[in-house]
Amino acid sequence: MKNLKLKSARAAKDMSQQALAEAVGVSRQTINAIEKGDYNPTINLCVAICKAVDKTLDELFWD
Amino acid sequence: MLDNSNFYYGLGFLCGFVAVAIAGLIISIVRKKKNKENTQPYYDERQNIARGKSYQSGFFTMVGYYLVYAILDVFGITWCENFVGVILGILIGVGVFAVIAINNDAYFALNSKKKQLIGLFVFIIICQIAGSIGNIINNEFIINNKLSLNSINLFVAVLFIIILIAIFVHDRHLKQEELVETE
Repeated sequence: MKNLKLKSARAAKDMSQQALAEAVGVSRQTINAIEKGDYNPTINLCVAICKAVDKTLDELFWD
Repeated sequence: MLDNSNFYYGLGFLCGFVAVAIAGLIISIVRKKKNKENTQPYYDERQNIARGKSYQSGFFTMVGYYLVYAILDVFGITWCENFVGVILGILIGVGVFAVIAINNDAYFALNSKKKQLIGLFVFIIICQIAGSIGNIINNEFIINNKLSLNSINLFVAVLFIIILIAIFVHDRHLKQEELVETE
């Protein structure tokens, strides 16, 4: 399932996938895979992404 | 029993491995002393999982190849020298791993110098093809209707060519994906 919340949160911060990837220390393709719903990140990566886009875990990863 | 040419070829092969291992050790020690920060390749969590799956595919392909090779050997069908057969299995396994890892964007580490590595691959291809041409000209490629030890150079060149093609195809796909993302 696509993670549109992450995509919109990233866009709201005016961040590209590459910028977010560099901020959390992963490859751009990993961010792309998360947004497309092809990869379920670990809790550590979820927390790092939330900090980078100023959102909570609930807001981004909880349905 | 080893004949003299095989013995010296094997000795040369072993010396090559030892020389590369020593050179690699020296380079890594120098790099660590120069640069105190971690020089180990770093893969993110998705890449590590993808690499694991790629290793698995490479391993099972290699097992399958050796099974076929052993069955053919039982039936007396020998198309290459044993050493070539073994090395070919390793090359096929490595090739499968590399292509799948490249497709999943898990071949190069996040901190790896991709262009340098591609340059190294091109250098290896040139060296191996040069060696192969020499062997073909000297009629040392096939001996007694079997692929001889000298054919390995060509197989190594083919492996690296396949890896390079996979890298370029994947990079093209990524560029298209990035274009879609920026639109």
